[in-house]
Amino acid sequence: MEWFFFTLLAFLGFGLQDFLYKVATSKGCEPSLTTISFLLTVSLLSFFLGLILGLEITQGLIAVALANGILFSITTITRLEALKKIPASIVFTIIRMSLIIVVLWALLFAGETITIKSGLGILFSFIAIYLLKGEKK
Amino acid sequence: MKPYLWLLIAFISSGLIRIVVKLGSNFDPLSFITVSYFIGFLFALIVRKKAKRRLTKKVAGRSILFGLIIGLINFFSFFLQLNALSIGQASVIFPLTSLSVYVAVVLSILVFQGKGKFKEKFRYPILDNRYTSSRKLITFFSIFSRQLLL
Repeated sequence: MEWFFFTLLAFLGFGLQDFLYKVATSKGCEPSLTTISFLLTVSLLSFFLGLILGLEITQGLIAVALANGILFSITTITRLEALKKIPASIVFTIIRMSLIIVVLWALLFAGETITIKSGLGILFSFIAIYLLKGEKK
Repeated sequence: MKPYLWLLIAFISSGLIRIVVKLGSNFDPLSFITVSYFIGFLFALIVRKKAKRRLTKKVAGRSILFGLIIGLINFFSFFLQLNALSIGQASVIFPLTSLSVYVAVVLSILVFQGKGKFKEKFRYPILDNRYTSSRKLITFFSIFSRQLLL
């Protein structure tokens, strides 16, 4: 059950991380500066760990990491900006719903077929996005 | 910019990340994380320079401190998840860690929603009268769409 213990700690850690985003915004932190500090901390820690365990950096990896890094940075900044005005319970729930983008991508580009369950999921997502569009505050 | 527009951008970009991460799973995870976060750091640095927001030393210091704490927690959580994945099944571990959002939601409700009784604090948008009907519906459809799409 060692894996379960690690998973439980990771689960609590990721949850605490999301919660701290909310605390940071409530304390008036500047989103882009918090993001810079956050990303620099993780990249330095993983770099030093990589020096011990070994890093394999290829051209293909750099290309994918470029897209991932930019998107991750955008997500972190915009999430912090959203958390300034919108309740955390709504922000986190909506962001978790972004799974629909993967499902749509799989349907459109990976040739996967739509099931009743996934169809309903897509419909519910669109309703939530439509309602979100109507929010004034 | 309107707050819900920020949320919409966060929603789209985090969905795109999921696709990119799928492509990234073909590479060594630690190398992928190191390069991704470093590029993300450079990009955020450019955004910060373009934004030109003047900050007091206090706000700047606090922002850096929170980033540091969040970064440390993120790194150790990720490291623990990697350890779990090396001995356990990904199909069990990923769904479990993806539930971590509820830790944040519960903590946010407990800490940020007034000083009432515990029962009063432990409310969720769907059941809470302080939320507008449309916010309740947004939460309702978001939760169920995710469960159906998983």
